[in-house]
Amino acid sequence: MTVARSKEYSYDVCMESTNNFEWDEHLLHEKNALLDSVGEGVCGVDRQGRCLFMNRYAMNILGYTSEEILGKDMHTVTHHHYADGTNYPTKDCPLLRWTTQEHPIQCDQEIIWKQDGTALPVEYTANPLIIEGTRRGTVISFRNNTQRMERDQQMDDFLSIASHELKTPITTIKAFIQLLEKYYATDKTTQAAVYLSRVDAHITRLTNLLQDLIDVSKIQAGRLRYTNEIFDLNALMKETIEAFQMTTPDRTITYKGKPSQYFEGDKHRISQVVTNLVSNASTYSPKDRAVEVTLTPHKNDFVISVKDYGVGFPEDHIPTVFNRFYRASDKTRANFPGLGIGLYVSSEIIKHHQGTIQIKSSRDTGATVSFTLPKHKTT
Amino acid sequence: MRTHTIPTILVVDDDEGILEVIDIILTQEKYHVEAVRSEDQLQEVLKDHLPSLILLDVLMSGVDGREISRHLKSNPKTKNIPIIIMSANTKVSTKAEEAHADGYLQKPFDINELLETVRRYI
Repeated sequence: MTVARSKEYSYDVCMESTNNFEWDEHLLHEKNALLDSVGEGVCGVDRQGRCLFMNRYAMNILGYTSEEILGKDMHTVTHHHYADGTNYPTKDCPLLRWTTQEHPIQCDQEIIWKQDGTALPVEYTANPLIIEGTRRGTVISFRNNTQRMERDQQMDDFLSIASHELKTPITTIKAFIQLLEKYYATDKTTQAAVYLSRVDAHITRLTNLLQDLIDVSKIQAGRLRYTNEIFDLNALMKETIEAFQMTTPDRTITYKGKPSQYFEGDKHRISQVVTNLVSNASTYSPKDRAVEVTLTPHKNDFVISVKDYGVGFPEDHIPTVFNRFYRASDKTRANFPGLGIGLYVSSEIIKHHQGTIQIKSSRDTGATVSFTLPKHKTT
Repeated sequence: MRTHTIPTILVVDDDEGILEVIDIILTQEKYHVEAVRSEDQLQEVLKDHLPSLILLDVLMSGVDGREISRHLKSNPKTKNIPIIIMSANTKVSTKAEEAHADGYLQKPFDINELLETVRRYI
């Protein structure tokens, strides 16, 4: 029988729960055999955080003997420093909070220190250990995360290289096209400059599509990274709309906001959302109607709305428009360009900022896409 | 030390196409352009003379442009040369901060963006 149990503490737990308890050795043998057969680490701690038992997988992977771990404070033995080597005070350890919380806790990035002093990246679930209705401690099950972290890193590297490798030739093509456009700009005898400006506009579209695809891959892999800074949302809105207007001179985008509206979040990603929504609105609306963008500060949040007078969304489609592949299933939009994943990417970015995004629309009356950004986020 | 009456712009990128097109664009605007493909070539140029501005790619084979930039910014001889970070990454401004660079240019860029950025720092 490999499951290591602390006789003293296990017995304590059982004695507390019933006065007439006797270990059924056969039952215990079976339970321990079951725990040893589990392909992940399982260990139990009492309400003071002392190790009650540890299964074979955990003992093997961590390299502790039963003498080294049973009855010992788990945090002090296996959890004493963060991954970067800084001290991890016991008071900050969630283990102690688990003893008072009744619901399971999940964590997909944690470090457990092995007996040989090296760190093991793990993901774990902690569940309350309840015996006869009374909370006696916590059972922690953990999995070795090393391979997953390596895969995640490879995915990050791949997406970064893919983005770089695809955009590098686009950069060169775009620059040469613009050089040619400049060259022909003064030559009124040909249409070359006009055609080249079309090519340029399509290169911009291609770049945006590429970025959308890369972002979707990152979101799916849970690897979309965010930065955090305080910035003037109104100034960002103006800059973003001006930049978009420059690339789409045949459309009118109006903007109404209020000066000096500060928000904390990822400036680039918020700008990306605005560009996405404005780009969608211009694509689906008639050329003679402006796209109207507003920023309205409320007591607790900012509301940003993008209104167009285009084809709109059928009402029964509204609940699904933020799905990743919504556009593919909407035949009415099949004649318009784009992959339609911009709304999905936008909604993920807004969710990350603890905001909400919604669409009001009906067929042929246009659409208003609004999102909120909370002034004070909960941590 | 060699001097030029017109500003010299040193472009560092491991992609031949990018080097060629930036060279053409800036030369048309009467800048003197030196294009290099590696850190070694960059150091060779700097031994000989200092450019008015450096356009520096981030993701080059075997070397991180941010490290090159930080190194140049910590060297008293080169710290005053404006450095513009070029990257296809959407977080190019963060990369420029990490590199202690003066400015940034996101790829793909418009010719006008390139020229405005260069003029801002020369």
